[in-house]
Amino acid sequence: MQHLDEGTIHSWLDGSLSADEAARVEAHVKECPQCASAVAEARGFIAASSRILTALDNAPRGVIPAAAPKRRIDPFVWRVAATVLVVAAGTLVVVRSRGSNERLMSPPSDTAALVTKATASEGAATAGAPTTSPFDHTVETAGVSRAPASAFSGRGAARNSISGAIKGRYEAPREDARLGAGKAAGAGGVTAAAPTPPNAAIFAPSQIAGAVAMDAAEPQQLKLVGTPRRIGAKVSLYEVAPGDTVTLTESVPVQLQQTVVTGATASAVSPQAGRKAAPQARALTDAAARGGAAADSQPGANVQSSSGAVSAPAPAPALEMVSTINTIRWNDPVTGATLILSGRMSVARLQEIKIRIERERAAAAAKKNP
Amino acid sequence: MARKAVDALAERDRLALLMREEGLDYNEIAEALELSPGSVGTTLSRARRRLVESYEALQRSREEREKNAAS
Repeated sequence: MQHLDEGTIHSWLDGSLSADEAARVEAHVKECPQCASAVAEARGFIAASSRILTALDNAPRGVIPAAAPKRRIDPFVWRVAATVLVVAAGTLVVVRSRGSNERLMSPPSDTAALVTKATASEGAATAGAPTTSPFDHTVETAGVSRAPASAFSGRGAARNSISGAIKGRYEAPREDARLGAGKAAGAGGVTAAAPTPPNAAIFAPSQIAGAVAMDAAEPQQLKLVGTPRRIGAKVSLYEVAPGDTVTLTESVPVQLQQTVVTGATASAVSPQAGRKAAPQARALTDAAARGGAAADSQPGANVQSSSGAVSAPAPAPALEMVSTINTIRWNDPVTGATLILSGRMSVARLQEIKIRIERERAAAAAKKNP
Repeated sequence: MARKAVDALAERDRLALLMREEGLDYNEIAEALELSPGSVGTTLSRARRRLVESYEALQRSREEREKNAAS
């Protein structure tokens, strides 16, 4: 048999020969060592070529550039950054809050100057230092600068009372609501119906609030808050109630003593009575704006009539507007001088204040000449 | 280097080799390449030998370059 050619050997190894040809080749390979060696070599080429072609399927390395590895930040760096951020934020908050506190705690210089100016111009010698907080201080100062210009300008003798009222507010710090209400009432009879704390007295027009005060609570002691100097007269400033001040003017040569009650026309009342009087006060103020018609149907009228036990020269009207200034006169039994008490309140209220003033004067005289 | 060895083959040898590697039988390769069925074995045997010889030649040259570079 002729030796096998290379093509026949690869065809036999690939299984592409027919069965007869395959059997014939196989028999020859067994008998022919040369062809057997050629078959072995052919197996090697088949296997090697197969491996080389298989390598083509694998992506050749170096052809596609590898992506640059992502730079991962160390977690420790994150921790440090978070710590720095928290500390910085906290420091900022502390610094800002401290700065605002310092601004609040330091009284503004213009406000202090305004207080000084107002006190000096009004001749108040015993103006106490403000004991309220700087914030309240500012609020009160605003009232000081506004009240004389709006309601009390050009009142002449009443200006001392105004300064007294201002000083009284400084020496007896109160709640802002009361100060605001008193300021509003003094500025034109408009009662502030702002919500007040339970223990805060509510300022209302004097007609009702004063009457209720006499019925509901014992009036406070008259408090001497200042002695403004006036030429030819001795002036004593009393605080009859929170927000109410009385200026007692004693003319030296003339036997005439005049007491003018100004300032906030509302007085301290009990919380219950105050709550009852506040809405009525607003209604009364509105009535006054329309023409002063008395609102007889108000429940406060009954209170007023029942409280008018003190005899008055003129019958007190059932409802008296804040803007009305009443005056009562009487003779001092000791000196025989004529005293005049006037103020923005009811006659009954003036009578009550008169009794208290007389009592105070009698007590002072007894202490002076035992 | 395998790509270079394959590209070095004649087109007919390369195609026959790739078709066989893909699983085509001799009749299909003969039909595709317009060959006689008996000549496919000869083409494949020649292609395999040349592929292996070319690959071995490339490998040797590479080893020599690396050897020269190292030295």
